Amino acid sequence: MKNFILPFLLFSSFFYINNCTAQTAEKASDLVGVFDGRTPCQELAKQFNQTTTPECIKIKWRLKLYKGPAKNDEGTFQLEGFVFKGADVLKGKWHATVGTAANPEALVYQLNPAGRGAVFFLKANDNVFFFLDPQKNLMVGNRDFSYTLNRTATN
Amino acid sequence: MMTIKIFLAIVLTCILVMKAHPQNTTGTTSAITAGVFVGSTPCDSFIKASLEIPSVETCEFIKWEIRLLDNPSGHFQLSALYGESQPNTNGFKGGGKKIEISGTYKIVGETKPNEKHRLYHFSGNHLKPELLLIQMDNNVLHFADNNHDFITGNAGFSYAVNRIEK
Repeated sequence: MKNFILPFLLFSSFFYINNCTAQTAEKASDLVGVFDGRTPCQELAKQFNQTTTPECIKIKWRLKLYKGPAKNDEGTFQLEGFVFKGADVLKGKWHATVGTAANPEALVYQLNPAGRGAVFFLKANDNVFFFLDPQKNLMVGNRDFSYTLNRTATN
Repeated sequence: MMTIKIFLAIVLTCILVMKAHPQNTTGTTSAITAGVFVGSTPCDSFIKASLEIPSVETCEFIKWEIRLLDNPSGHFQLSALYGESQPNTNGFKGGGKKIEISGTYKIVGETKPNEKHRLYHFSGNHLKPELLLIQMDNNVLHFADNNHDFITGNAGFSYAVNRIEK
């Protein structure tokens, strides 16, 4: 009996690790694009329920979108910036939806980070995305920074 | 008889109001209102050409201030401060160089590819070719290219400008 336990545990561990990796790691071939930008700090800190200092004036963001296996209007994402770096990068699934507060026909990408509220982006075209607030209003920037991400790389 | 006249008067009034305020064909709620828009954008070649910035001059980014005046003929005043960025600041080495332009703006159509946003054409002295700006809502505008599409910025700067004053 003991002879079977060790191989069984090894096989189970291998299967578990392999399966988890398949669920979380994105394939480079599925990369839709990489979008970068610098936004003002304070409003988005509030939106992400993070405390910050008044000296925080900007956040550098990098959004990676990956397409899903079956459709182009859903997939997975990684959102990096602010306190969400390294092991704390925001990850989850995204899907396309329609309608901002000002424009019922606008194309919106809804990101659902694990354990957090949804993050909304207005997709202006394939290269330009705008942060939206939770009510799906466009966010208004300042002299130095806007709430916009721009495509900097593609697959 | 009086009831019919009142009913017809109400219908006629409704028709006149609807004609005076046609239903919006764009996704945004209404045309942009007067105010001041600011932002920092890249300084790509077409912007340099539009502002007549000599190609030999260093222009790493531009700080815009676009003032839409509150008058029916759609006048604007624009200032563009540009130059070489001062490291670890949001400013320019030596303060930068400033261009000031005034002119008129008008709606010329809608954007591609989704054609859901109003497109404004800004023309004026020392503005060749003219600038195109997309109305995202009443508070955010975004520069457009000659194909009426959004211009892609970079990791440091985007092509959006933001309302700071009404």
